[in-house]
Amino acid sequence: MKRLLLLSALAFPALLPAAALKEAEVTRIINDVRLVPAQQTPSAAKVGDKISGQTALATGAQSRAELRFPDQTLTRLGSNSLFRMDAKSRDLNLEKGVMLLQVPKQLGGATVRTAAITAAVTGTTVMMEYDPDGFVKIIVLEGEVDVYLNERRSELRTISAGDMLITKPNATSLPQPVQVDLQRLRRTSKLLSSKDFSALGNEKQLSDALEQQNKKKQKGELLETAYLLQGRGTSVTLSSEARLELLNQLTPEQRRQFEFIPGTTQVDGTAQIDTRGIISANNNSLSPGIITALGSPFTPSEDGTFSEFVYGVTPPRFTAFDQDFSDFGDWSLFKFDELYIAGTPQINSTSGPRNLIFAGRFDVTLSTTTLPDFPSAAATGVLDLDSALDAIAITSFLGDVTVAPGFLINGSDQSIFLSSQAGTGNVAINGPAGVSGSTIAVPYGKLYVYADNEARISNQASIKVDQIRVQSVRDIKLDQADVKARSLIEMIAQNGISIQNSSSLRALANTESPSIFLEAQGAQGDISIMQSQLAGESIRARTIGVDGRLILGNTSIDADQLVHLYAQGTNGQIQFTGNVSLDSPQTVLAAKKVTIDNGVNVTIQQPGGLDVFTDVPQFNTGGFGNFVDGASTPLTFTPGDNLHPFDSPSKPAF
Amino acid sequence: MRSRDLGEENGFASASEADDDLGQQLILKETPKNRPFRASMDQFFLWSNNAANVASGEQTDWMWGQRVGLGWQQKIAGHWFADVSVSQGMYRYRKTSALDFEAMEAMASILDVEPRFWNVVLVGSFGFTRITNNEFQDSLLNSISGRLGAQRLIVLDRKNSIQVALGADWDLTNDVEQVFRDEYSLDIAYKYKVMRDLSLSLGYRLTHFNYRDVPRSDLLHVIGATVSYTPKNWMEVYATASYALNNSNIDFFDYETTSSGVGLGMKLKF
Repeated sequence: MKRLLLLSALAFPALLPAAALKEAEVTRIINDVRLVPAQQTPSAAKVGDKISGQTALATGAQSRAELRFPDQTLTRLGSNSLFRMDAKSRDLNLEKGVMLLQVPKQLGGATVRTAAITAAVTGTTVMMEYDPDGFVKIIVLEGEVDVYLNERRSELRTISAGDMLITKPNATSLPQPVQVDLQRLRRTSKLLSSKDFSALGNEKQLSDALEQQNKKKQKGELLETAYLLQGRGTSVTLSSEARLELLNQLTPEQRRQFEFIPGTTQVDGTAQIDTRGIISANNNSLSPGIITALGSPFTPSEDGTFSEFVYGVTPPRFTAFDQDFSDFGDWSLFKFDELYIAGTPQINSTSGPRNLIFAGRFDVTLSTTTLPDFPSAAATGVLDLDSALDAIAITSFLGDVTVAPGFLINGSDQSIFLSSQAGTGNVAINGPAGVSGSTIAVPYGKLYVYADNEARISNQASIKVDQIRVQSVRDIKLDQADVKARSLIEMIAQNGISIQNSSSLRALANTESPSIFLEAQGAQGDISIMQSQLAGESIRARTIGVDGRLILGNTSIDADQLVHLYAQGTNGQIQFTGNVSLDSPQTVLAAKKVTIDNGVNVTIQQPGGLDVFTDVPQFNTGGFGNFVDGASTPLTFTPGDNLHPFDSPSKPAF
Repeated sequence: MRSRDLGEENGFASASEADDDLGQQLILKETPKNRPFRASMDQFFLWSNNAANVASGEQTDWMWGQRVGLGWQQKIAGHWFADVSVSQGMYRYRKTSALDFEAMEAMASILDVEPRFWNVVLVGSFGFTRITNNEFQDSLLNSISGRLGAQRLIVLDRKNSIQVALGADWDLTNDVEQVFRDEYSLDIAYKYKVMRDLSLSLGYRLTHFNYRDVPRSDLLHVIGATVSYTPKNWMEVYATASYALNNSNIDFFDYETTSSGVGLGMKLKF
């Protein structure tokens, strides 16, 4: 393996003892860093470890380390790098990867050498990347570096602050360096991150170099180009600004053709999004390094329905979804094959829409942990919507949208859309809630859930919103769900609704008229409310299928105005399978058949407001359970008074 | 998804370009401001064991010199440049004030940095020289000359370089017949960069003077050494020592002179 050699080359040996570069101390470790003694098994490195002899220091993915020599020469290693010392020759070897080297100005310096190229570093801060199979990249942050060919030392270039020189390890001539933007480099380099590392020793020189470059930029002597190297490597891409300029020139039809970002992309605190239409994320399964991709503006009033524009599906899947979308005006759309959200990306919406769409082709998962391949300290498990956004839509076409246990979507008055757009996809909001006590906490905002298969809220998931609207092509299932809304809980399933196992739906506010609306539309679509609690100003639940049933047991329903429980199908049924408490000034039950299982009491806390519309009353008679009052006394039913035919014209509208 | 475990390759990190350690490198286009003008100022103190450069009756003395200059250089085509400069020097001796003089020089040149011949710099000039004394009152010499020269810098490595120059200077007019002459010179200088801002130079200059109106011919050898410190790119502090040996076909003009001293130079582009 070719190696990058850092040889101690001292102009004034008296100033720098020969032993000075023979030993270094590990002063910072981030993630996975290991000591690799020669011929021995690697072991985890820790701060304070001394590196000398033949010992190497290896960094893993998303890992970094800092080494400091006795003379304050400093080395930082990037991820997937290997740094080795050789005490016999007093060489410092970077065998591959990325490093930052800072040599204090008063010292003699160090020499960085490859098989063909040498860089002499004196009183300089420099970053280097070495790919043994590809190239050498040298970027000078401050000071000057002499770069020359070993075989033709007269082939010499002195490169200064801001210069970047890239050449092959076996080059026979040196190219001209180019200037790179130091401000952008410093802002985006993890080896210069103040979050990860303490300040560098040559801060003044670094600042001076930055200031001088900025002055040249202000004078027009340095102009920003559209060309950008995203990080490691030599691939030049268009800068975000250039991409956005191109984006503005696209027609709606061209924007519609945008491809999904391939592979699995993890969006976390390190991802950057400009809602004018560009995203850069650190982690993608198919693209090592930072991936940068274009997004597309989406304006429902001009671009048509969401499902057609984003997924090419006609006819539109959810008309209500599109209606809700259009209320927000312009959106910024980013498309992914598979998306993993592990934290809050850095969102810049100052010049773009304040509405963001993450559209996955397959699964979209919001999780508290990073994917195994993308260990990242930025995985907070919180998607914080405050300040940057008015609305966010997270959708999938062929997969599920899943809020994993412990994840929190946090905001104030934003709107959240969670949607699976094809027949196989579910939307699942899972608890238990994390330390915040909530799964989705947007107390003055709206939550829209549109599932093309099932919508599930389960496992102690806690939702606090102003409104929640859930629509499902199949079933809506709440299991140990805690849903609080200030004004509306609306659930419409094209098949059935199941609310069970200590679930709680509360639509409570002092100044609104909060209500709960449940509707099962399937031919055999049931609404099953078991071991749960519903509370609100008005509570309405109905099945409209021919055989649709309302099944209640071990449940309390408490409404300040009314409770309407309707099974509207011609063979519809309301069935109480366990004790139920209904507390409202007006309680209306309407079904072809109303049944209270034998031994079951349905307590009507305000009996004067009860009306039952049914042709088959199976209650308060032999072999069936009873409607009772608060004192457990069976109620008396009088036709025309509180008992009516199912199709009685006096039946209140649902 | 691709695994990137640290444990790969016997515990060494696997090859990857995985993250943003390096940061984004936005390419900047350089459009340097054209700064065709230059100004320079040089002051030095020299001690000489033969202040008058004479064959006999040598006197030691200190000389203080001050020189200011203005220049303009502009690319005119390809690797061709036009250069115009003017400088005024004033030289004063501590003991022998009769030797005091002032020198003004104006020059217009065409330079060709010739890439086909190892970047040799070819120069053609017309120069006007005026030497005065008595505080610019009395004219001692006025001459116009035509000059041709070539020089090349040979970089051996980052610390060592050699500069070689050949020159010819023909007087076209000269109001002092005794010094109406042609010059042919060879310069060889070796430079060693001790540090980035500290260098040592050793030089040798051989000049043949052929006088037109008098039967005189001189061969002047000068060897010198200079230590130069450049703390800023516009400032140079130097110490220099030299030995000059002039062999003339007229013994009266033979001389040997040793000089040493220190100087401070400054230059500015605008």
